[in-house]
Amino acid sequence: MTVDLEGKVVRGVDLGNTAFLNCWKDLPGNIQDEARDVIRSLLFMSLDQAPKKLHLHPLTNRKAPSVFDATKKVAVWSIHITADDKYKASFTYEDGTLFFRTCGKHDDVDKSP
Amino acid sequence: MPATLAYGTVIDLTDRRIRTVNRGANLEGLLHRFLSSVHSGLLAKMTDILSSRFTDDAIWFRGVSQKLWDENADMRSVSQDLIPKLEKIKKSVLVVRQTVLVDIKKTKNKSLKDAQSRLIVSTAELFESIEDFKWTIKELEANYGARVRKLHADNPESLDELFQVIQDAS
Repeated sequence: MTVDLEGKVVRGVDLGNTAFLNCWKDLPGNIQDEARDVIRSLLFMSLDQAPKKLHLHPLTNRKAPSVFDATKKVAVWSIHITADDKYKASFTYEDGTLFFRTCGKHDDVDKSP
Repeated sequence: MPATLAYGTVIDLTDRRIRTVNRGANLEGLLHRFLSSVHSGLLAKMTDILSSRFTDDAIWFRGVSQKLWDENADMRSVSQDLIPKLEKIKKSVLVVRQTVLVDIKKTKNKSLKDAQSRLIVSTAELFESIEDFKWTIKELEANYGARVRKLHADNPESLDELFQVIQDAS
């Protein structure tokens, strides 16, 4: 039996997806600053032990093509990149690296009448 | 085998659905203006019809999101056009929601109050399903995003440099 002592530890960040770069440049400057701090804080963190305020979770019913092998599907993760929860980003986690995919405004509405 | 959605069909259907949502959102204002002082029962019925339409729209957006995702549709060429439209109808739906949230506090008729409650819930469902659709399009764009190979960092310093490179390039 093998035990994964490291868990899902983030050893690298990749921002090279053009979809992410296009969305990033549309973010307001202050949001970019806050998001940059959040993304930096993820380095060397275990995804399983991320602070709750980041709302880090794999998306249900959403698997994306692997960066390394497009025929394989991997989980897409979502994270809130601002403290007011109004902006989020998504990424895949492969081989210790977060591959950022997209980012932008996330609107929510209270369901109760 | 499930039918494959033709690309143009999805866009046409989405545009049509956006028009439907807009008509519904406009209808609510008209209903309220003309019927509120005349007949609560009729207004309750019309409000329920609007709720049903919004629920139907919400189911459509959820369904098409899943269908596009399942087919890994390439949405790159339409997202620039579609996402602003979706943002706009989200605002229209929110206006309806805000109006009803205010109206319901003044409503005394029980059947109308119940209908307004249902409309408030259906606006939330529709809003969320449009938001979900928007993010599906963004995620599908990412599935087809080209890769810039050198934008990789494995320590905080190189990550800061990476952000600077992105900043300088934009």
